[in-house]
Amino acid sequence: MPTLTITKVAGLMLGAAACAALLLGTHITRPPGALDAALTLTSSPTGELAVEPTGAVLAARDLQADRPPARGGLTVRNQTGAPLDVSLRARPASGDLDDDVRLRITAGAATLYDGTLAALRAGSRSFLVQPGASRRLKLLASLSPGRGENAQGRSDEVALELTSTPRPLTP
Amino acid sequence: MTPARRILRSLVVLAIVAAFVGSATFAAFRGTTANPNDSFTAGTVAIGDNDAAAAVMNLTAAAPAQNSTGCIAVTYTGTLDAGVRLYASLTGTLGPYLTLTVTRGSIPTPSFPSCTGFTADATDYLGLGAGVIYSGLLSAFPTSYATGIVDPLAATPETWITSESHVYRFSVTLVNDNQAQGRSQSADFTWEARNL
Repeated sequence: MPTLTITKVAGLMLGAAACAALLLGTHITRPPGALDAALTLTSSPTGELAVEPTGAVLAARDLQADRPPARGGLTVRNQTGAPLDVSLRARPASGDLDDDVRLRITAGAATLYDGTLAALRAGSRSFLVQPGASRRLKLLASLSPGRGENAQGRSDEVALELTSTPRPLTP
Repeated sequence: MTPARRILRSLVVLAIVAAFVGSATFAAFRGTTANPNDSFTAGTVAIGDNDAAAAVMNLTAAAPAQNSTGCIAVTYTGTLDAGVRLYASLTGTLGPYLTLTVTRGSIPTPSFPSCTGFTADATDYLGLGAGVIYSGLLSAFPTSYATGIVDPLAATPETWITSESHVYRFSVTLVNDNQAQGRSQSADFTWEARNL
């Protein structure tokens, strides 16, 4: 009888091993290269502000966690006769990368925004542009830490909406 | 184990095997196609200018023939192609004594209300000079979209597209008429875009 039990146990283990080998053998392995995320930031003029360039101001087709940030920029010009407080807001087309992309916007030494695309929907810090003057904005886009896996294969086109408010003249 | 039990056990095993084989037998090739991620967004019609709520022209205690000139840049920021008309809201009694000329053109780097660098459109829309879209008394200026000046007033109205911008030079002059004394006037000019 012990011999029969040992045989049964051995058979069970062999069967389990065969099943495991079969499952592992048919498992679809991940391709060696991870899919990139693609992001395009666009900007367009308002009545009070001219922008250069119009359209795409940052285009990244290969965002990955281990790569350097994608860079872009635009120049904003105040074409009114009053000083303007200007800020930017994100208007994503799909929102697929809202929490995956970190965006940094600077004007000279000032950081206007540093955070996710999602939070930029609420707007950046404002910056002053004098009448007839221009400010150059720099854009850096990268994947947020730990979001590389989630962002794979995703893409979005995000309009950077400019809003401006005339600054009251101080007497 | 009795023969009956053996037969019964064999039948059970056969039934299980038959179930598997049966499902395999009835399995068929199949194919599907999907159309995912349908999304729907409405286009926009939006237009703005560079006046920052300031007046483009101003006459204060004006004498006969005194003139005020200013330029305003108008930019279309909507996503739908649109037509634009210009009209005004008028208040006061000085309108019949003010002549107004509106000329459409461009400025490379507009700075409200300066007209420095203004270049009128080459087209003589009304036979009154290059780029002129209105010339007459302020009191006769259209006051509604229905009667508004189609931009530009020509055989083929302009189709405004996203980021398109034009500059309008306004020039108003007080006529030499004794009846104008002491009167006043205000005007709000409106560019209205409607998608085509």
